[in-house]
Amino acid sequence: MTAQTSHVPIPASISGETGKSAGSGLAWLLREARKAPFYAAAALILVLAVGTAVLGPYLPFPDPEAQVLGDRMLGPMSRGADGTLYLAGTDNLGRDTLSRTVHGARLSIGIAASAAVIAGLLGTALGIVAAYRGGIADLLVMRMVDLQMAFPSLVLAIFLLYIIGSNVTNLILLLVVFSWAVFARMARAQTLSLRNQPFVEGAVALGASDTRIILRHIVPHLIPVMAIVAVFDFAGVMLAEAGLSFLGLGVLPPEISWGLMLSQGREYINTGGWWLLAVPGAALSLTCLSANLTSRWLQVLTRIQE
Amino acid sequence: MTAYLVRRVTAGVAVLVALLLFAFLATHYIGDPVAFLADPEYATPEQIEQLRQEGGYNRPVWAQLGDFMAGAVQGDFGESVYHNQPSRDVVLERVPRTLQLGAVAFAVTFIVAIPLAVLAARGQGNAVTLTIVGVTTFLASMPGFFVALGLIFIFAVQLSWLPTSGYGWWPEMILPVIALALAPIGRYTQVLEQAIGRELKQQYVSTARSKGLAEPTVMRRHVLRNAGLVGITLVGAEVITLLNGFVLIEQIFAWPGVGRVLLEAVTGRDLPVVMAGVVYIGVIVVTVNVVVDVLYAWIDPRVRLA
Repeated sequence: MTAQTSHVPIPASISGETGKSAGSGLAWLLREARKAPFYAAAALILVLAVGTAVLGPYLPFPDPEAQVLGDRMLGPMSRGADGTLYLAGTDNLGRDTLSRTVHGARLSIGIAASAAVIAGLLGTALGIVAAYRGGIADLLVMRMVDLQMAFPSLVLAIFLLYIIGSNVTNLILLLVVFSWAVFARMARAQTLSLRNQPFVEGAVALGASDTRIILRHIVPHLIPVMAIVAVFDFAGVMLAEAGLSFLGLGVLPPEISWGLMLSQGREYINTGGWWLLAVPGAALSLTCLSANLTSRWLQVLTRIQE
Repeated sequence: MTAYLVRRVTAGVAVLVALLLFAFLATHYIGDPVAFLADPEYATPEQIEQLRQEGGYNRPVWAQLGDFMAGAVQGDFGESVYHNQPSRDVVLERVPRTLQLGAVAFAVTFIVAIPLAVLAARGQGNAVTLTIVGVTTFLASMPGFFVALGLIFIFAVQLSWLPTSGYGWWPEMILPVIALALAPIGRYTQVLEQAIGRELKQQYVSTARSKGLAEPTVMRRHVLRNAGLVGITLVGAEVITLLNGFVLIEQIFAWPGVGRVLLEAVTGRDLPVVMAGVVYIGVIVVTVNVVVDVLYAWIDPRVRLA
């Protein structure tokens, strides 16, 4: 709804700038990493965070649900009654904060990643259709995008979650509903500019069907752009999930997510239980920051100008 | 200009109608308004039937929709279930408090972000630029509610300089305003810095300099005026983000604003207040967007023709 000039990123492959002659992919990546160590570190942290989310339950951490009632509210680096070292302390039920944070990655990152991927696929598909078909399809999709962007999503999410009830599936569904529009808008703008490129016109002249043109000539060029948007969107979705869980409307106990851990830890803020906030909060902030930086690095790497 | 104004206001009204329709349909089709008011798990069938009778929920949907729309246009969403007053008043009473917080947060954002952006752009890649860009990137990715909790812990719990929560101007506003403004400061500084950087390369800047204008004058009279346009386009999106933040920040600081009353109504099953809250937040967003767009079109005539 807001008036804005659209900046359409053009992939290097189209704008004529040829990418680096690759050499081996890994060597190239290392070379780029040396050029931008901050970006590279962020990407590494993001990969580690996602790895933790995937492997969480198989990593050698104690059971996140195990309550050791003798070791309640121990600070970081303290030892329990039987000598166990709690690197990040324990909560009010004597549960290991580090282990809970590691297990929390599963839902926090899992929900955000699923929502970003599904929203990316859905939004991209709608955006391509809108750009390629034009007319009423375009109008419909773009009006929906406008509507969606004209409203604070968290407010609507609170409203809807209460109506449909809070569980992981509903949460992902809602987050998709609130983030597909960015993808649709970007995919539409990209497709519109790609459609007039000589290679697409050539394909049309050769009699290729619409489906073939879209799948063979348009989609491959969209992938890098949409990946950048997806990584960026992932961070936003993760914060939204954390916010909803913090308010008690997202992930519910006994599940563990970083937002939920923050809301549980909040009760101990006055009694000095800072690590219950700092540990999951740092995990959340760091993952979010890494995703944002990685998204920018991808922009640099693919030479997509904003 | 008049045509643009009419077009823009019509679009705004359309968004509000869509929102009303959506809010109504969501409560009546995705969910059940009676189930929203009384959880079937706890209420007896007789009580539910009584609620259905009293609320008129057993009438045909179109009749209910007509009543809802007619009421909504007049600002009548029914009596609040909890507060013994019309739900409109419950919400409207709190609007000024949310606006108070929002206006100050916005003012702080500009006061901090503009000088930072100018400094960063003038540095042209030196240590000052790098520091500012680094810090603002960090700020832009921080979850506001985690920042809020951290601020409370440091300044209210540990140092006891500021109150942990509550409503007022000074000193109650300091922490919520910082928590709300940090991420926008990060985003605004970066966008403005890029915009200023672009403008500084323009030839009119060289002209202004060669006329012998002092650098601050060039910046203020020429560069900032053009770069500021980008800032204005961002305002609409920022207000939406800010409203998302309000739900969380008001909750954390016990600030009696619209976000908090909406959350209370949702968890307390006060359907009329939920409806009124969602719709009035919609009114705020749409009004701000329309004002921003019209302002933008007034400043930059090219927009009107788009």
